[in-house]
Amino acid sequence: MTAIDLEQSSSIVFDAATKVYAGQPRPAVDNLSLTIEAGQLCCIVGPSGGGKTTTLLLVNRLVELTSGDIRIGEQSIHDIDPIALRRSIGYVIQQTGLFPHLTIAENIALIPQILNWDKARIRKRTNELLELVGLAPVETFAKRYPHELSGGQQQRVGIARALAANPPVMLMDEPFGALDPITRANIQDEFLSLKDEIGKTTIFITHDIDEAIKMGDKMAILQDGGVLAQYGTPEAILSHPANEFVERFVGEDRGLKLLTLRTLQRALEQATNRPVLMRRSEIQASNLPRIPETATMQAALSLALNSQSTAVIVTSENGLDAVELSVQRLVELGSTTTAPPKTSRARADA
Amino acid sequence: MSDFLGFIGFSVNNFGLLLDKTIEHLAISSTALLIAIVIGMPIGLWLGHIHKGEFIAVSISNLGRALPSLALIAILIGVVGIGFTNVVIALIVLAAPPILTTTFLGVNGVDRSLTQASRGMGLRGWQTLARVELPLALPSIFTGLRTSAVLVVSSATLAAIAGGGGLGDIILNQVAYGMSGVIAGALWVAVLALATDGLFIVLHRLVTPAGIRSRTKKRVDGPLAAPRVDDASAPEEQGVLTSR
Amino acid sequence: MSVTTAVEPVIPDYGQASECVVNNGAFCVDWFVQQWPTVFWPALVEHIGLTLIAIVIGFVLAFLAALVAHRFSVAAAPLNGIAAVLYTIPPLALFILLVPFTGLSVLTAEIALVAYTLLILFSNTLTGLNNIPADARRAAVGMGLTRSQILKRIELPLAVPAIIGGLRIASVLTVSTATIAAFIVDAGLGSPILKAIQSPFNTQFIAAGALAVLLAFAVDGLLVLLGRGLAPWALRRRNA
Repeated sequence: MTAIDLEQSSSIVFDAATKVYAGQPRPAVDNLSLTIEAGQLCCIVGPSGGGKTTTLLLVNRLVELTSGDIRIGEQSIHDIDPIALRRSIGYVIQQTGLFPHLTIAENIALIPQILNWDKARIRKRTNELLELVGLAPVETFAKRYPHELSGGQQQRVGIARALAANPPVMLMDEPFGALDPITRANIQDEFLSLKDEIGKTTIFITHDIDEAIKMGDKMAILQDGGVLAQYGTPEAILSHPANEFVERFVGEDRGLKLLTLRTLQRALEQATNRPVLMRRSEIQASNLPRIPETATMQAALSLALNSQSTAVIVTSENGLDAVELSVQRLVELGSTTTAPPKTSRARADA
Repeated sequence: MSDFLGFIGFSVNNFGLLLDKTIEHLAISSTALLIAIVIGMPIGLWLGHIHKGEFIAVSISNLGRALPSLALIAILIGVVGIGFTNVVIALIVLAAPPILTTTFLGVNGVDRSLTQASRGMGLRGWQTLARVELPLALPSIFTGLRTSAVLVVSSATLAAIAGGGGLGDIILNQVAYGMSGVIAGALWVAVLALATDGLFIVLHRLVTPAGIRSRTKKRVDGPLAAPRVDDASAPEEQGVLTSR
Repeated sequence: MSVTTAVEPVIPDYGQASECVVNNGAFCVDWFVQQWPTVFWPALVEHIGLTLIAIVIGFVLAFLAALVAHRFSVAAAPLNGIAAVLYTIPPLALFILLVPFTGLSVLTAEIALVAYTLLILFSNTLTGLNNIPADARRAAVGMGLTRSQILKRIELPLAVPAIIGGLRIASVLTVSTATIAAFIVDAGLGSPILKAIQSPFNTQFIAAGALAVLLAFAVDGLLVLLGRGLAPWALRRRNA
């Protein structure tokens, strides 16, 4: 029985979800209400002990709710058999959890096999997924065992396996937490580009605020005791932290972090008085450093710092138009063009 | 069945004999065990300390396990003749390998970062061995001692066929002692083996340093740190059990 | 060379004796070859039979017990305790203690031999079943595998190397212990050894002893190959 429609993205709704572990005085997750829209990636972020993982495990019923409800699409998870529920949820964990006695292909094929897909379909799906997560040539990787792969490759397999039965929902528990910084950045980038293609509603746990800012369509910040401190877009949270806890958690450099979220193009579009386009001869004559408008504000400031210049030239995508932005102007753009606050404040018990 | 219960009467009437034979049994066993320790432990300590000879140190137990004690005693009859010496030599051959192997595994298995730290603090090689490696290896060493001690008490029963004495004298002499005597002897030796096992379980607990007593499993830190599945069978059973 | 000189009562009365036999040399090849079809080959076959039956029955019992202990962890300690006591009793004593109940029979020998295999097979199988890495277990449950699917598809395959390891030790031990069964039944390689002790004739117990050791190694080797066939991943993992 598959209670949730596979291959269809569904929203996830937490409705006053609460978990109190037996023998614990305080709840691990406290009256959590938030809605993750279909196809969106929500990063749950917070200090350790903030109930992040518990929140995740409530969804696939590895931990049962004490009170409240969680709905996937229209359906309460209580109305779905836990086994069927889990098969319709992709699950990725930090330590990969790959089965050491199965090859990569067999690891990915496990759930389709249990769901009795025919062999040709399983094979097709496995190859398709290996390619999707960038493990090519497929034939080589399919026959390998997990320990024969690097940490980053193993986690790609973990993601492919979670996608195998095309679940509408993905749960990712610090999936890139064990990887070295370079591998981590690469796999983050690839996952981001893959995310829109697969369009799964995803809950992504991390303790790393930068990862959350980079990966999340929305961020939910949990503070001690599993209390939701703030839920909103990274931009909204960075520009308008809901309380002191969030402000401290996102860091004093939140202004700089915000700059990573905005491209020059967007900043210029939102600017009240736009700078004048440079003439061709001016562009040619200038020896200021150049940067494409698709780069972030942060990159532009960084470039100015590195080249010790007081201004940069921002070029359009076709390379024909350009404007000159002084550092002063960049700072103004960064501080004035913040998005209007659209953040839901947490209940005032923090 | 009457034969079986007859052991009670026999034990009561021949308590002195059983006691004498038990003492003889223990004399053979402890002599062999002590010599086996003197031979096996230093080699295991040294090989473990220098992290060399793993193949030999482990294979020797496998080899010992395949060696039937009966055949060993019989062959030694041909080489050294009948008597105490024969039996003690046979028992040493059986008991030394498990001691050597577990000592090696214990010392070799001590976390390298600990020995490195102790060297970094300026301890000499033998000081590292005595103060770091040996204490941490004691639980493993006592596992081997337990295996060897039980094995020796058990195999010493066969000493009788080579005129070595011990409780086997009663068990293998139905003509003189009757079925009741044979059963009584077998029960005594069974109890003796279980008591030896118990003694070494207690010793094992006593020698385990308090700091590592409750530590169960190492934490798994990353995807590559997952325990190797093929190593996981209990070392107690895998490495050191040997033939009877 | 005549055989008329009485040396000692050590020469078995087996027809014409060579110089080696007369002097009770360490190993008389001619005598061994001569005795092979009537003494050693039958003893070897009997020995293989004794061992094989004990291992098969012991494995079935220990495997079922391990499944129970795996499912209900409270059962693990008592089951292990029983197996440990059986394992600790000296073989000769156990053989003898069974005689009043099952007589001087192959049954007695098998009961004792099975008893000795239990501890190793049980504890290795249980260790193997519990061997699944914590992250793999969590992933398996999280993916929606049922308890029996986890057992069949994950835990049992992962336990294969440990089970084979247990079978190797148990077989080698049983080959060795089965020689002692000769005290109660006239079968197996222990038999010629015991007979040779009556009149210490070197070739006979060296040959029988060596055959037992070789048999142990052969069984061990076969099980290693079986393990490689059943769990190729473990081998590749080791080499990686």
